[in-house]
Amino acid sequence: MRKLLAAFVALMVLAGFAQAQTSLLDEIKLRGNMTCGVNQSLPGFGVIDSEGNFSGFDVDFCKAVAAAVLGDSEAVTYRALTASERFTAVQTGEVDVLIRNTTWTSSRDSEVGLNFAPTTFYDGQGFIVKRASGISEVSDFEGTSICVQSGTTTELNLADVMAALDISYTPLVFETADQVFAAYEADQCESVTTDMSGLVSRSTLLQDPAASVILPITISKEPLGPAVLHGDDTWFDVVKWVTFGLIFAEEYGITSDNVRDVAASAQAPVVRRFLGLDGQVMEQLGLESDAMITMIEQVGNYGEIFARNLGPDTQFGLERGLNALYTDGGLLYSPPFR
Amino acid sequence: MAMTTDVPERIPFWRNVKTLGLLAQIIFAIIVVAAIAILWNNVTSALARSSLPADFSWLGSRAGIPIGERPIPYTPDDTYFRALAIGFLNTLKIALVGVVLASILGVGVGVARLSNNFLLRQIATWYVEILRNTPLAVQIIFWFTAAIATLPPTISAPIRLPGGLMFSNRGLAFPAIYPGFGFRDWLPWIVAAIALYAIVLYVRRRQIIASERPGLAWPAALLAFLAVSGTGYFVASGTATIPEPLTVDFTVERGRGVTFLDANGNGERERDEALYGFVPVTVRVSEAAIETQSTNLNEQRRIKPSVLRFPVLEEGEYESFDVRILGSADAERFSVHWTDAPTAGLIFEDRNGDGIYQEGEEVDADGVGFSGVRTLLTITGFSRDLVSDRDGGIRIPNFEPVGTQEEETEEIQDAGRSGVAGFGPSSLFGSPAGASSDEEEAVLDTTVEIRSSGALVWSRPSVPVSNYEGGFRFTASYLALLLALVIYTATFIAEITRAGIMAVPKGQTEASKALGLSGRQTFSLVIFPQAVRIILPPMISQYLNLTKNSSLAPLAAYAEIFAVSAIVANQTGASVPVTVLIIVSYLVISWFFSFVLNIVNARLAIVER
Repeated sequence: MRKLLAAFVALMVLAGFAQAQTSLLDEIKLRGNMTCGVNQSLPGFGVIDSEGNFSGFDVDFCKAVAAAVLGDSEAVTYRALTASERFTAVQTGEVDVLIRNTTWTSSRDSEVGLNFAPTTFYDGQGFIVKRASGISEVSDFEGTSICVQSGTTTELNLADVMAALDISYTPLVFETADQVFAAYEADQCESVTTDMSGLVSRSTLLQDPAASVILPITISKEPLGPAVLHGDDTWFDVVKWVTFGLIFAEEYGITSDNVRDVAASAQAPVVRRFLGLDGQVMEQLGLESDAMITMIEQVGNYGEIFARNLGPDTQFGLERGLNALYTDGGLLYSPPFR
Repeated sequence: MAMTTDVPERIPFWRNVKTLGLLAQIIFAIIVVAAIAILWNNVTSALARSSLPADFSWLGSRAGIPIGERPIPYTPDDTYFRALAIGFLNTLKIALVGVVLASILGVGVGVARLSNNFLLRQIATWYVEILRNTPLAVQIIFWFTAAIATLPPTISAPIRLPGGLMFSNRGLAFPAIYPGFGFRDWLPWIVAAIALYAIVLYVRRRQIIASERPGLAWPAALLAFLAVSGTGYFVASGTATIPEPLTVDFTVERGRGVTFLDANGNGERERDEALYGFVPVTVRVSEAAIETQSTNLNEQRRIKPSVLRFPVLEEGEYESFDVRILGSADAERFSVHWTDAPTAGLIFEDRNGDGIYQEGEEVDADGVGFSGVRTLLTITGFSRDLVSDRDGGIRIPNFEPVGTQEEETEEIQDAGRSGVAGFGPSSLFGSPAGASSDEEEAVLDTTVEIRSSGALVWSRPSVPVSNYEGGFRFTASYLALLLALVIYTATFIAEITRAGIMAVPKGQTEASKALGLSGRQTFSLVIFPQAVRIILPPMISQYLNLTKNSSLAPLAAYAEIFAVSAIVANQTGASVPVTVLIIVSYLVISWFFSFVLNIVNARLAIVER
């Protein structure tokens, strides 16, 4: 329903927006508040609690952007979006930035018209099955049903892989992840396929988590990251470099605990530039000079965000894996701030 | 001023009512056109700027999306256009069936609301009051999530009714009749029979009118129809032959095959060789095995310990079967108790040594069931009659080869994984399609034979792996959506019916009673025919409502036009063109309903005096 509505709103809003073209950055500063499209039902990444507060890995990136731009990590209005309505929400300006476990693909860059900030989580598509089903590899899905969420790359990857291996299966396509897992629990399908991160986080919500097992197979590359609307480079730059800033801070060991001390005593020009003590790096992006200090103080660096939401001390117990710094064998790497 | 009658004063155009009227029309038209032009210009320029596709060129590209419910053959390799067409057909499927069922239920309830029977009247009243005032979305979610998904048994143990009907939380499957090889030869007979029916009907009517005696024309016509079509059926069935290059490409390790026209005669299906549906096929496997392990099953909110399951085999489909518990320690400790041989059973520990299962022997001292006990079912002389589906597909449970069984099972144990009913261990990732020496050995003694068929074939559903195959199938999604739409819309139709009946003047009842008509006759011959005229126009809008309400289908995971469109819009980014297509689709269906029902309405309406 909302999708249709959104399409109509798109007609109206696009008509109205035809005039002045200012950057979202100025608009957000003027508003004093940022709208962030997030997931509300993916524990660890984006979840809403009984009091209506959002938390999670993706949500922390919203907070980081708000802290850097507005100086307050709480100045965010969260918009819970389903997978199929998320792009329209960006296209129509309903949200300023989309941080909702969204995979970066070429067609989303071109056809859907998004700009993706650096990948915040390197993921891959996997399967969860009931232990009792005995399914252990992709070919065992012959003749079974697989539950999948609509409007996702997952759906397309599944179709591609199954077609390539000539496996005939029945897809059961649902709108929301809650429906997908409810059907799986009711034995309407043998398996759920989605990103590994999603499987890990959702499996903790199953009635009997021990009865299910996540197959050690990934069938796709799923780089997840923040996305903004095509065509507003100023705003894109901000989101992009805020994300890099979080990685950069981890690279240089700047944490929420020590950022003030580092700022007071830093000698290295790289760090001084990054924290806005020397040069105009932050001003050039359209931010306050101490944007990074505020951000790290309020939200922490990438490593802290990961540990807080997904790390070994949480119920998910995710290893960093590909999401470690490049120095630790991962893929995270920040270009220099200068 | 002198009065002149012959030269009328020319009224200036700004005071001429005619001109003013015309002018107003022109100005209004200009405003409308300008408004549309401005909006259109804004939309196109905004679309161009936001790089959203504004045309329909994407319709021809590969869709890539999987759709579970497909009335016509479809693979993800097909185009977006075909994907949307599937959605449109699914909308039609739900709307047409829904309209018919809602009318029957609604009229019935509406009549019941006026019944003299207190209980019936009260039930009908409460049905309408409760269901009319509950949002449809809530009802769909109730039917799908609460009623159909969780209450019925799972697919591994469906409710099986006599006649081959099966029901589980994956939907309803029942035997169906499909066109066989002789169907084409039968068609002319059918046409002839219909023509004869019309002729006999016409002639008989003339006779009855001429004889000036009461009589019915249709029995004779029906008899003529049945005689001709029946004769035709036997003639067509007798001469039916199997089309020449028809072949089955079947892989027993995967339990799957297709029927197709093998143009080059190499026995394998090439891309350009057409699939051939509704072919009756018999698959025979001389000796086959299936491995599974027992589980503690959570079914209908009840834990069933030590359950052992194999694919559903019907009686007469095999000569003999034998089950063996694998692993020497387990084999000594446990036995199998069949609850539905050779489909389902229990693993039990024969503690009192009488060789028979007693209550409580399926759990250990701590009350925990024996799960994970591996068993091997060996079937000899397996034979199953199937009818390939629309896509030409046929399927049996995928068996393991018997000869190499020992090594196979050891291997499985080593790898720490296990096959289960229907899931044969086959490595698709490891070996490319084709024949490695392993697979050569693994070939089972199988024959697949195409049975000749008459004008029609009878297809029974079965559950070879974990989905229904064969027969005619309603998915859980379809059933849930249909139930919700029918039950919800029927409440409105009931009220319309009640209003229509009550609007017939009371004098009509009194007059018919005075003529000596019984209560039933009064209702069916006098009241109801008049009520229909009042009922029909508001009924049309209820039909349209039902059609449009089917767009709530994503709540039940049903792939109708709106659900498919939402996915397509998401993949292509073409929100605006897709929205246009959705509007056009619903418009076409709505107009169709209006058109048909307006004709009916016009025929029923009282000819005005």
